[in-house]
Order: sequence, then structure tokens, then C-alpha cells
Amino acid sequence: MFQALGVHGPVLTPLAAMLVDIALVVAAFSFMVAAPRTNRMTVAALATLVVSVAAVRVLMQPLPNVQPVTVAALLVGAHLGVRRGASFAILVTLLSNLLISHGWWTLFQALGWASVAVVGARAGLIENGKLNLPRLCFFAAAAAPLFGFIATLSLIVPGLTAAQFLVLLSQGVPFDVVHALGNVAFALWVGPLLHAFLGGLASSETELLATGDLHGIDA
Amino acid sequence: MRGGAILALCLLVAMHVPSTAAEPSTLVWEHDVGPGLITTSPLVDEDQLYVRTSKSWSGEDRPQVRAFSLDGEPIWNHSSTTVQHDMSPLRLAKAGTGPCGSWPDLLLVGWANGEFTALHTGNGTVHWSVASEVRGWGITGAPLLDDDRVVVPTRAGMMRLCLADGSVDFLVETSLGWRNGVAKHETGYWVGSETGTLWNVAENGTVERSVNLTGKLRHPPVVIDDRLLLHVQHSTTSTLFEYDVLLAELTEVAVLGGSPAVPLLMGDLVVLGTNSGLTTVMCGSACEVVETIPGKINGEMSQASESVVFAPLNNPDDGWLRVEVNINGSVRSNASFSTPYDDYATAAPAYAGLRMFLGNDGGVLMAYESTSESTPLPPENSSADDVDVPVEREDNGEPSASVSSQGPAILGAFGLGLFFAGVAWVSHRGRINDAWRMVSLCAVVLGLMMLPDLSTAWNRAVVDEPSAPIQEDWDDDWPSEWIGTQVVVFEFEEETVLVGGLEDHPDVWELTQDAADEAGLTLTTELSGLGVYIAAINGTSASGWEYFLNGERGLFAVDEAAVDSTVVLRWRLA
Repeated sequence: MFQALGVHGPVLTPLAAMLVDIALVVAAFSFMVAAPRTNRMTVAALATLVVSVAAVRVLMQPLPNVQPVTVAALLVGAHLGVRRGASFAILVTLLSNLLISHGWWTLFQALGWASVAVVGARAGLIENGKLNLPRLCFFAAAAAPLFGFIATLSLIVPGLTAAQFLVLLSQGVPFDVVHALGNVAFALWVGPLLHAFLGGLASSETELLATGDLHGIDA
Repeated sequence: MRGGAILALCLLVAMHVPSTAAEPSTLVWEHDVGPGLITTSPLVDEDQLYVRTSKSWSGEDRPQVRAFSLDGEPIWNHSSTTVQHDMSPLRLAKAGTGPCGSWPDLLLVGWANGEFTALHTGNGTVHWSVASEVRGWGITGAPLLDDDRVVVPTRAGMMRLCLADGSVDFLVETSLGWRNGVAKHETGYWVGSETGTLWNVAENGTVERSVNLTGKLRHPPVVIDDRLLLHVQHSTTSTLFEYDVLLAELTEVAVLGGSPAVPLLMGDLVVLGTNSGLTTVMCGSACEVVETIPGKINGEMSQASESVVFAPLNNPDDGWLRVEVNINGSVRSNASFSTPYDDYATAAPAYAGLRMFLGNDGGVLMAYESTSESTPLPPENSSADDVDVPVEREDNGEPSASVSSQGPAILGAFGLGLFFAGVAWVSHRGRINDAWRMVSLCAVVLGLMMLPDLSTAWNRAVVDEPSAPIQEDWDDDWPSEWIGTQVVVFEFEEETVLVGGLEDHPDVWELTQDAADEAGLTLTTELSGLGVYIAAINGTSASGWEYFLNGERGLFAVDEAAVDSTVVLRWRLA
């Protein structure tokens, strides 16, 4: 590994860092607003989930590459769709990195977890309203190398050859393995709970809109 | 209730296995010989103990050779003017007479400033002293006693001296040597070098042949009949070779870890040490690796009895490794031996009677005594480098470990067994999902525990050894005295700090520490499970520091990155 655990590719100037932050926030809210059936209840619940998962990520930061965000992104994508899944991934990354370590790599981590959310939305994890746990475990494990690859892209600096990049990528394999093991454990322990929470949220969207229109709850 | 009692009993037994396996030993005296480190083994004769200190010296402090009584009373000390690390092992020459004259009891000392000195063991005065060529450094290897002569590996080759008066029999130039050491075979003397060449010098001082080893040889070749066992060092690995001196055939035996220790010959068994662990090799008609146990062993090892070896562990808190081997070379048991002054260690213990003497980078000489009357030590011992004269010892004649390293392993195995029994029970009750949850949690915990070692081993497997020559990053404006040494460059935004002429640092971490000390810079470090991380240099952290070896970006944690004896280490802000 690089001596500097804190070195993650180019160092951003304050202005560049601010632009990255703005781009991420704009992207997250654009995805949120553009998503179909979004109502304030969903937004509030999603915001709560963002804060909770970010907090868990910060708390678990001492454990190298044990990432609660990955399984959460898969399930949010599966329940609420690609756009809100991507929005969730971006916001969790941004919020937690502000507390852990923020920089150029945030962009790639957000992209990595947004990709995981896309996979979650397309993987058929929910069948007839029920969570397919074995499938979730499989995609949770598979999401680790996908995220690892995208996050490693942040280490590309001028002068880095393809061969050196492959070495960097291969150096991350043990960490990807731990990431995958952690994801499977999260899927088994927390997956059903998150499924219940998100399932209720997704199924209530249409009803809430109707009820809200009548009673002013969603006004 | 009964089940719980049985379980508690098993746990209790498991927890006591280590302490019942370890024999007691007591620290009977200690002496701080600092400033300076103890990096080579102490030496014992009938009634005295000798030890040398080593360091990259500044100010008025200089290295010393000191003599103590076996009860710890200081007797004499002898100092030198050298300012570099002294790594040449001490040698004792008993009083005798030979064709070149008579000599008293002598303590033979090689110095980094090129001097080779014979001291009277009684009072430490100089009997004779001979200077040898200095190229960056002087004598760092192990001399060989040969009847009335001593054969000394010099920086540039080899010289043979008369023990009586230090007169030079011959002086021959081979190639640059460092911590190499001489061995003798009927074909003559054999010595390795930094340039990847094994040299054969006849007893008349002529160079008979040279063998290309493709790596550095930093120990006296181990003579087994008509073969030489050679543990050749590369940047991050090592290769064990057999060289048949009669057939002139070089055969690879095994590829092992980096930074090899001085091999220890015990009859047909050879014990090797590397960054990766202690390896036993049986040499019958051919040499074969028997077993490797983990531990970072880079220095000298010594034989405490027929079956027991002590090896210094080159990590800050690890102490020494005590290994008991079977006649077939397999490891019967191993345990760590801890002291109140554990530090980086490269020096093997010495033994006398019931006592064991040891020291490390902490610079404290310690004497331990076995409290078991049934385990007397042999009356005399020589240091680890006496591979040409295997030491005969009584069985079980060594003080043993105060702390066993097997305890956690046994407890871990016991815990895992219990855990999987629990999983099986839960599964049997039909709670399959719960069983999978437990298994997944266990897998994560094990993965996290294994990650540091796994990551290091994986890195070594996938990363090519740095191959850039020093010229890639050498600045012609630097002093010529720095040629052949280790140079460190700290590149701050406003200035560049240069430290050169450093030696004997096995990895980036030690080299950086020494350079920072010399330059008066402070280092801020963080210790993670993945190794040491240098977070700030002299308070400057910015976005992190990266290191480059001879211009190539470093890929390992600083305490895992081996460095050559000649290298440019450059620290840059990321």
C-alpha cells in the first residue's frame, strides 16, 4: 500500500473542493427531485436513513473496509429506484466523508455507491414484495469489487501507468474481500430490517399522496 | 449446570496451558550500556561477559566494548572513534601458540572505521590493532578464527592476520562486503559480497574463483561437508542456495522472506530467519525446507541446547522467540520470551551455567537465571556466528519463556470450536438464517484479524521488487562520502533537508527515524493494523507524505519496506 494512507490522488484546492461538493449536492437533489412519486414523507424518511447510515459508517470507520453503506445502497436502489438510490448514495458519502476524511476521493466513492444503487435497482432483489436474501447476499459480495474498482480510480495521478494502476488495483484485493464479507454480514443481519423499513416506505408512497391530498398531511 | 461446569473447566485448562508449558526464569541483573544499542550478541568466557554498543554517533558519545563479571559488575570498557554502526560480531581467541607466535586471551573486535583490534580480555587494553580500507564504512562482517590466524572480511575484500602480533599474512581485494563473514573449507576461504558474488580465496591469499549469486550475501557461508549453504538477500525476498564446491554447482533450495538473519547450523539442521519467520532446513544429501513459523528475525540466532534455539524478534515489543525443534527439523514448540526492555532485537542471547545474557536496541544488558535446578545450562557458550563449530549442550539447558505465544492460538482454536458447535446447534434447531448470520459475523471478524498479514503477504506477491539503481536519484553535488551509504531527503515546501552517510538500516522506518534524529526533525506517526504511517514530518502534514526509493514510489508500509545498504530515500509531500 502507499505509505500515505491519506493520499488519494490529486489534492484539491479549497475552490476545487467546494466545486466538487456543490456538484455532488446538486446531483443528489436533482436525482431526488427528478425521481417519480417523490413526496415529502419519502424525502424525510430518506434523509433520516442518510443520516443514520452515515453515522453508522463513521462509527464503524475503525474497522477497515467494513462498509454499511453498500448494502443500504443496494436496498434503497431496489426499493426506491435508481435515482433516489443514487441520491442516497451521494448524500451518505458526502455527509460521512465530511466527518471522516473529505477530498477528491469523495467523488469516486459517491460514484461507486451510486453504481451499487443502480445494480440494486436492476438486480431483482425484491420479488412479490419479499426480499430475496440469497440474491442480496450475492450482490452484496459482488458490489465490493465494483466499489473497490471505482474508488481506486481516484488514485490515478499524472504519470501513473496502466501497469502501476493494475498493481494498485490488485493491492486492494484483500480489502475488497473484507468488504465483501462485511457486506454479506450486513445483508444477513440488517437486510431484512432495512427491507421492512424501505418496503413500507415504497408501498405507502401512492397512498400517502392520495391521503395527503385529502387531509393535508402531504400539503 | 453440569455442561456449564465442564465448559468453565475447559476454559480454565485452556487458559493455563501456556503458563504450565513455560519454565520460570528470573531477571537477576541488568545494566544500561547506553547510549547506543546492542545489535550483536554478547559473548561469554569462563568468568566474563563482553558486549559492544552500536549506533550512528553524534556529539561526544562513541561506541564501546564493555566487559562485565557474570554477576554484572563492570570490569573494563574500551571505546573507539568510529561514528557509524558497528555490526561486526565479537570473537574470543583463547591464549595459544602457533607458527606465527604466541598470544594471550584476546577479544577480537572489528570496527566500522576499518580498524581490527585485539583487546586483552583481562583489562581491555589493546594488544594490537590493524587498519583496513574504508569505503563508506569499514569492517562489518564476522571474522573467522583459523588456528593461529584470524581471517577478517574487510569492506573491500579479506585479510588474514597473525593472532600473536596482528601482522598481515595477506590482504586481497574482492568486492564490497557488508555484514558478510568468512567461512573455511578445504578449498580455502569463502566470503560473500554486496555485489552478488561469492568469492573463494586460497590460503595463500589468491582469489581462486567467484560465483554469481544474483543477490547479497550477508553471512558467513554455512559449510556442510563439501557444500555451502547460502542465504542470499534480495530487496524484499531471499533465496536459499546450495553450492557444491567440488562440482561448482549452484542449486536453489527455496525462496524465503526478506532481510535474512545469520543462519545457525545445528548438525544436519540449519535454522534460518527472515522478515517472514524462522525456517528449519534439513541438509541430508540435499537441503530441504521443513517448516516455517512466523516472526520477524533479521539478526543472529543462538543455540541454547541441542534442540532449543533463541531468535531475536525485530519488532518493538516482541522480545525473543524460543523454538524447540525435533531431530527431523520440525518445530516441537515455540514461545516468546519477553523482558522489561523489549525493543527491536537482532542480537542472540549468550549462555553461561544457569544464566542467559541478552540485549537489544533498548541498550540494556540483562541476565536471566533459570530457577529450575533440573535445567542447568552448559558452562560456556559462544555467539551465534560460530556456525563452523556447533556447540554441544545438555538437553533442556536453557531458561525458558516467561510468556508463551501459544496461549492465544489455543484459546482462539478453542473459541472457534465452541463457536462452530454453537452454529451447528442453532442450525440443528432449524434456525438456518441465524446460523448463517453467526457464520458471517465470524468470517468478518477473522477477515479483519487476518487483514494486516494478508495484505502484507499479498502485496509482496503482487508487487515487483524495486529495481531502480541508486543512480536514478543520486545528485552529483552530494558529498562523495555518501557513496555506498543510505541517503535520506526530506522535501519540504520551503526547503530540502539532506541526511547522508547512514548505514545498517533494514527498512524505511528505521532509516527515516535515524535521519530525522540527525536532522533534528520530529516525526508524527500513527500505528494502524497495516503498519506504521508517518503522518507528519516536523509538524508538516499537508495532505500526507509519500516516500520514494531510488526514485520509485514506495508501495509498502514504512516498517514493511526493506531498503538496500545503498539507497536514496526521498520523502515528498503528496
